Amino acid sequence: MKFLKTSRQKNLPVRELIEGKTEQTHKIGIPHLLPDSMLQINSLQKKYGDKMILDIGALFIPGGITHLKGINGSGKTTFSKIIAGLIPFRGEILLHNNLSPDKTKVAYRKLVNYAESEPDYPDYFTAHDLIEFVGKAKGSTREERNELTMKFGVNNFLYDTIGTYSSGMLKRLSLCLAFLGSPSLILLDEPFNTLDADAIEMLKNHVHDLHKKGVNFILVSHQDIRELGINVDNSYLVKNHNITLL
Amino acid sequence: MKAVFKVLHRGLVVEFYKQNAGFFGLILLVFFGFVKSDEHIAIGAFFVGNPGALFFLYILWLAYTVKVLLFQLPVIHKPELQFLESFFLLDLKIKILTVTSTSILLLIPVLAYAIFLIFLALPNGQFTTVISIIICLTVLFALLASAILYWLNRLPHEKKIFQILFFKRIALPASLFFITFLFRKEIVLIILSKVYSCLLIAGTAALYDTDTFDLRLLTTGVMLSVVGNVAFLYKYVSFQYHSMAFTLNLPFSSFTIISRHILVIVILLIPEILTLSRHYPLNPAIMDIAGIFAFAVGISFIMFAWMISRQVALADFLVNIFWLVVVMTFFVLFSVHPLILGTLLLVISVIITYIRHDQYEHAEL
Repeated sequence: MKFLKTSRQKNLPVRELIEGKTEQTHKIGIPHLLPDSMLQINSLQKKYGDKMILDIGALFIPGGITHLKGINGSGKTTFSKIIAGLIPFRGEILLHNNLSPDKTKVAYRKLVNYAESEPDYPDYFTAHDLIEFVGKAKGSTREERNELTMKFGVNNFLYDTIGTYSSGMLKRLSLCLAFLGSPSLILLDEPFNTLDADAIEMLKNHVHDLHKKGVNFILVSHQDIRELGINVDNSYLVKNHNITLL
Repeated sequence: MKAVFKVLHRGLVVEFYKQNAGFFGLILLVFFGFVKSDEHIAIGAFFVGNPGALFFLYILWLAYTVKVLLFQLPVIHKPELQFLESFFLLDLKIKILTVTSTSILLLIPVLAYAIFLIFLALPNGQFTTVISIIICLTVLFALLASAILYWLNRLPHEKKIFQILFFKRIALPASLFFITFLFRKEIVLIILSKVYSCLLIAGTAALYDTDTFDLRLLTTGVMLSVVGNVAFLYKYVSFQYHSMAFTLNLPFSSFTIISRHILVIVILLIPEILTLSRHYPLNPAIMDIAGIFAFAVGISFIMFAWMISRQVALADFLVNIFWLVVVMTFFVLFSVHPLILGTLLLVISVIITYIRHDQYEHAEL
């Protein structure tokens, strides 16, 4: 687990949880079925009303850059929101065999970041408000926040209210928020939508840089992202309420 | 000048009235649907004959002016009105005339009611009142016109400097996210709800000028007043789980989440707390004060917790509130101390929120 060695990983309880050493882990009683698994899903079900959206028996997603494909309405976004801990579900999700969004809520959310496909924030906030709020919650330093705002070009509209942003600016902000802190897994839902060519290139490079440092990615996109030059390690397809390896 | 006025009229005035059509519709319904003409005159006579009431009316007018202003500033920023950035090139006389006439159109409801009051005051020789109304109007027009003029007159990069100077490094604290939302979007709801709840508390406390102090009566008054915040709490749930849904991905402990909810509720109750402290009977017992406070927070928090555990439309939820009021009135009448009730409500609310807060899934109802 290379990412544990990075200087940004300073939260000891979270590290211990990942390594499965704490008493809390034993209390939860999660079996170590797959020693090197990044994300493990057991009997996951999600319904909206009576409509079944996802019904996944067992799924193992290894580390690296994962591409999650599927047609519109197949449940890609619902799946990524479940993994991000945004919506309730039935079943079990394990990150690094130990952490789950419902049993180790805080530790899990420190390690899992998410960027929505169509971000929507209250229009009177500024990017500065959100970056400070999310950054502090995720444990990022001021230097890191400054570096990311520069990298994503958010510094150009940092103090403008969100109501004045274009869709591209909003996307840049949402991506910037998703990289704050010391995540182990970053979920990016349709990350290249509405971005211009420069921003796509910058995002691509940033994803590859962080991947080299041990950060895992799930890129949710209906497009073939290999064509954009992303070195994808695994591809999965969301179809018929299930997710299968391609 | 006509062209500039037309642009400002369409971009700022028409847009304002269009987007607030519901609010003005409600005002027209209340004032011309339920209130008879002689009652209008009686209310107007009360305002002009009572300096305290007139001052209260000025506060309402000021709140309306602030609402207009808060609406205009982001509108001026909108990409479709980007051409307004060349406004600073115009002649000063044209700028002042167009912005003043725009401000008059934006404050027409205030102007109309002020003229009505002046016509009521003049026949009775209440010249001081007339002068004070004219001064108030002038101040409000000047405030609105100068703020719009200042903002239109800035170059784009100067606007940015202005913003940076004022807001740099002052990120909005999380506990004020929702309060800011209310002031930005729901100013009318704030005024109406808080006027209702504060008047109810002041009215209940005023009974003790002639009657013996009875904690049960005061507790009932506070409960009915705090229940008036149900619309705020409904908006808070929607705000928290829809507009701020991304925060569910943030690593906050249950303790932090619950403490933040309680803090927001206490901030929402500040007007009621201030009214109660101003009108509280003499020599109050500390336990009674603590009890009333805990009960007010407890009632509010149980409504919030109930909303996130039972996801229903506001109209349906009001039925639940009815039963809450009935049960609480029963306990209060049988002299259960508000401190016990408040603590019990808080404990139940904390448990419900702890179990349910991440099980809530927003849906438009």
